This record gives sequence, C-alpha cells and structure tokens, in this order.
Amino acid sequence: MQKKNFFPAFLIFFIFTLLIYIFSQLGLLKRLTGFFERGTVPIQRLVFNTFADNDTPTDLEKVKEENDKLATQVVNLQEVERENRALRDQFAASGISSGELLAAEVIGGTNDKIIIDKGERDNVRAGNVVVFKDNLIGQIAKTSATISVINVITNDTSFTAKTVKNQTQGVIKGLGHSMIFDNVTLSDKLEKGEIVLTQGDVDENGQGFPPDLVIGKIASINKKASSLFQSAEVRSLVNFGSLEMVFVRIED
Amino acid sequence: MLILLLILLSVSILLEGTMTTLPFVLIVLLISGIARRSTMVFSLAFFAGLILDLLTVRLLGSTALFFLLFLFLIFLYQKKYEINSYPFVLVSSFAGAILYLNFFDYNSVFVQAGISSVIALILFSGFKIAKINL
Repeated sequence: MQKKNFFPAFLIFFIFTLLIYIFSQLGLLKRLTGFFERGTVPIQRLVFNTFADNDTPTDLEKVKEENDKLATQVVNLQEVERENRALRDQFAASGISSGELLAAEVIGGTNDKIIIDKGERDNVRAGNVVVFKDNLIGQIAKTSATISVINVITNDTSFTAKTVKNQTQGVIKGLGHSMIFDNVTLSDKLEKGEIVLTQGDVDENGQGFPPDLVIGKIASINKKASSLFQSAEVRSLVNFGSLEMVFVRIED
Repeated sequence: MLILLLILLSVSILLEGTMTTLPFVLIVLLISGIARRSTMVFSLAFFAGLILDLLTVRLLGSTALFFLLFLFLIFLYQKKYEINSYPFVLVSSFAGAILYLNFFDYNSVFVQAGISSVIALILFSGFKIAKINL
C-alpha cells in the first residue's frame, strides 16, 4: 500500500479527533458527553452486573463478613469510649464535617479503579471521599456529567493513619493491589489483626480523608532492628471487586 | 466478515470499558490493521476511541488520538517491511500495550503488556487459520 493511500484518511480523522480533544480540554463538550453517557451507562451497568463477582456467599464468607462487622463495631465502641473520656476531661474531639452521603451504584471497575453512576450533575466532585459502611474505599479521581471514577486506596495513594488499639501512627501507602502501613517507629507497637483507621489530616488545599474511617486490618508485620522504621501489610475488610454500591461524601 | 470484526470490537470495548484494564481494543485494531490493511481501520479507531473515552471518563478524543497515531506508525512500517508475521505482531502489541498503559496511567504495565501480546498472537493465529482477510 502506498503511503499516499492511507495518509489522507489518517489526516482527516486525526484533525477531527484533535479538534474534539481540544474542545473537550476547554470543557465545551460536557453536555454532549452527558447526552451520550445516558446511553452508555445502562449498557455498562448491564455488562458489569452480568460478569461481576456476585456469587452467593458461602458459609465461610458469611462468617468472615460477620467477623468484619464485629471488628467495625469494636472500633466504634472503642471510639465512643475514648470520646466519653475526652468529654469528661473537658477536651473536645474535633468534629467530622457533616457532608451528605450519596448512594452510587458500581457500573464498572478493575482492581484499582471503580466506575459509579453518579457524576457532576449529582454534585460529585474530584476529591470527594468514597466509603462503604465505615470502610474507606477511595477518592473520586475524575468526573463527567453522569459517571465518576474512584481511585481506590490500594492504588498509588499515601495518607496518614493510626491503629485503634495502640494509637500507633504511620502512613498508608497503596502499592497497586495491596497496602502497607509504613513509617512506623520501631518503639511503637503493632499487632497482627489490629484495625487501622484514617488519621484525618488534610493538605493545604483541604484535600484528605476524614478521621476514623476503617482502612483495614494488619495482616503481617515487618520489623527489623536494623531498620529505622517498621511496617505492616494492611488488608481492607472490603472486597473491592465485589462491591455493588458505595457512598460518596458530598461536601456541604 | 466485517460484521465479525465489528462484534469483536464491540465486545472489546465493553470489556475494557467495564471490567479490565487490558488494552483489548488496541489489540483488535492492531490485528485488524494487519489483516485488512485498509483505511477503514482509522474510522474504527476513531469511533472505538470515543466510546472508550465515554466509558472510562477520559478526555473525549484522547484514546482515539492514541489509536490513530499508533495505527499510523504501523501503516508507515508496513511500507518497507512485512507486518503480516508473528514476530511483528508480538513486538508491536507488546510495545503498543506498554505505551498505552503508561499513557493512561495504569498499573502492572509489563504484566498486562505480556498478556496483551499473548492475546494478540492468539487472535492473529485465529485470523490466519480461518484465512480471514476482512
């Protein structure tokens, strides 16, 4: 095939696509994408629901889920006890913003990103925190008119965290398919099975996770006397691949 | 046979847009470009790219631009060298997948690129065995 045979066709499509890309960058195509997404979202939902892991849980999985629920209840009770003590001592705990929770259905996703059926029209914005029960799922990474993409916490994230029992502080780092609780000083205590919560720090732009959301449970500890810090592998209590619904914290 | 290609492309778009980060659409377009060697593949790349952008909330046009440029390079290469061969399919699918996954910021780039190459070889073999020239 001669070069001149395909080059005109390529050039036409390339220029047209480039124009679409530029207009999209300038935000001029939001209504158009919203219009087309009305058609693609139901198809996405159907395909995802057809192929997603929606098996009936086995007895073992039911026991595991019950165990995870009890672990979360223990966390809540310990927090209530701590707050009671603080109030009695006349120290006020800082309040969590009252943001509204918006239910969103999962219509697509992989191990590191989840697609939901809520977008800018539902007041979802990039940076909004996403939870499921008391578990932290991730943050909204991108939005369009009607759908959004969540960056889950196992995917290339980094934020401060603490353990429930010993209040040990460290940094959660997402490694793609797992998380480590890192930068923990050697003198601090870590226990296998301990629940890890968000610390609640925000950056200078006000972006961050609210405090006391469950990140996961410590699965294993890596402690060497020759290192400056110790770390632990943290596993989420939630199976991200089997989520059907999540909740987006919409800020006031 | 064109219908077969369209079905294959539709399934790839749905899979990549909802369930996986493997670059199925890129592989199908690559094999289509090698098998058919027609400018029609540019139109398929254009529409497939736009639909994928809608499904994955990317900037409209970004995926289509990538597909068009990738296919342009493939067609440039075939001017001088034979592209209807297993080594070319292996190398181009691997390189294309690495570029694609890096460009759109996905994880496990090399693993996914390896899997993509295997899928590309299987698809190419299927086309050859069926003697499909779309």
